[in-house]
Amino acid sequence: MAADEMLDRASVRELGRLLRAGETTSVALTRRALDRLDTIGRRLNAVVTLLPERALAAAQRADEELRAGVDRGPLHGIPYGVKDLIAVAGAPTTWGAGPLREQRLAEDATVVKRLDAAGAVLVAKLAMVELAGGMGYEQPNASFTGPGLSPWNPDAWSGGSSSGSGSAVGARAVPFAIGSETFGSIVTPSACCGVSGLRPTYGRVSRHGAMALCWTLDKLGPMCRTADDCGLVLDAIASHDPRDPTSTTRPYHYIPEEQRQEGFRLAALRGATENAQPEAVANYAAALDTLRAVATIEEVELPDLPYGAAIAVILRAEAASAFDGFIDGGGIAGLTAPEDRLRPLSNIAISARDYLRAQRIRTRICRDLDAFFARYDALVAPTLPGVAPPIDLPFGQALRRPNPAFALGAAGNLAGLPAISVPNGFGERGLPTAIQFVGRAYDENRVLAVANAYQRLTDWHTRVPPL
Amino acid sequence: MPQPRPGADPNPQAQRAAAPSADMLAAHVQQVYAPLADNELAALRPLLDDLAGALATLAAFPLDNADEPMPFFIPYRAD
Repeated sequence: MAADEMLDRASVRELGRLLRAGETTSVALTRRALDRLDTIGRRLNAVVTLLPERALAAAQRADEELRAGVDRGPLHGIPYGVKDLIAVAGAPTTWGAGPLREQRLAEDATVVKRLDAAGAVLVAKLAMVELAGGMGYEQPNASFTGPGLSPWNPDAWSGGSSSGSGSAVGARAVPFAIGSETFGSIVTPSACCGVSGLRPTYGRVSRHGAMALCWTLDKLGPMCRTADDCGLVLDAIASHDPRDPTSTTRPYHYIPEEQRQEGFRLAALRGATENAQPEAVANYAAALDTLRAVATIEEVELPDLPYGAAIAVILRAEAASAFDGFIDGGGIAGLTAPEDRLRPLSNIAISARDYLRAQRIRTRICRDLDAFFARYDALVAPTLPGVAPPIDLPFGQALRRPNPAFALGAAGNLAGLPAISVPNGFGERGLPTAIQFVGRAYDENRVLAVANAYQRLTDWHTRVPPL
Repeated sequence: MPQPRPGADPNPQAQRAAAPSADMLAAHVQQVYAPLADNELAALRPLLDDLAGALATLAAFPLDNADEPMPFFIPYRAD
């Protein structure tokens, strides 16, 4: 295997070993990432802005530090990209929206500062669905950079709204990226692009400097080649930040050596494969069989609570407020997806009383789900009921099948629970399928331990798309 | 004196509210964003139907008077 190809396949942990052994340099990794993003990344509509000057200066600094014996940890010298709703001083921060393509914010977001401090090398701002999908997009072509494409099949969607983060990591253009999730925006593109994506507990990662869509649901998290890498990145970015009052003071440390490797207690969502594609059903069954080597699995149902209704009202009401001037002032007229220019108007009809009722029910949901999840290390389910949809189909025809995984997504995001999506096989049109592990609040290390155990037993995460 | 609205339950320990209809929601949208063309109103209608359904589901969920909304209010102090 050529050296470059080997680097494209390596995890963050493996790249760190190569850097410290002097077998590669941060400058070489960074040049490779910039080149792949400029070619493959652009073909996949994954890139908004490349940052070659900043990146190469940071990479050179990282190499000099390593030579001088200064080691900032596992991310030292590793290139990465951020979803373009994360502020980077000196570069546009477009939020995926055409009317905002010249928007410049004065200061790096906290998550970028944390990664700088960890020695990571920011190489690009990555494409996303306009305004993180908060205007109600109904088809893949909802970004001024074009529809995000899966690296496994350019006729398929990358998933959203962290479309470029998923595509770029899946295409092996960057070892990791930062995405965001309000409702599905990390786990969905992770599944569609065949990468490992971690949605941390709400409040685990500071959102200072990130676009707000829904203050009580927005989270930032890592999208990587392995679950283990997600832990390494989370360790670097998790912290309390006085500039994000919702960030938790609970400490987080990723210490995989201390993790269990077996004896897990898992819950499997009953009916999780209803209306799923046949390959997704078979791959999920095979994954459960694999997991039985390290876990007991009990079939369960979620507590019967109005997850979908509550998240719809909360998300739509907060999005209407977060973008009130943009909507009322006609900014939405310049958005790419025609439905995004009209649908937000409907959200004005949600009253304060209705919003507060949803938030009062959410309190019940959080308490009931905490009691539920306390009994298990994680709940397992397919991430999606099938593979990435074609780019030319509206979601109404491609995605909206009644499936319990939708309720799990609503429940997990309402309660701010951590979840990781990892690839578990392939389905239609050569596209990946995925499973997710959802855990109790602040128990990222448990879901990571289960995902690590699964990835030790399988090799789906090592597959590379035929680009 | 307003009449009790259908679906509402006044028991303060298991309150159920009355939800607005899709027509009421549509009237509010029209009031705020008028003039909206017929085709725009028609395009918004399925969203308002969905919203009315979600609000009805939430309104039917019994809540105690003491059920506080998430997130809870926290007084602020700079130090």
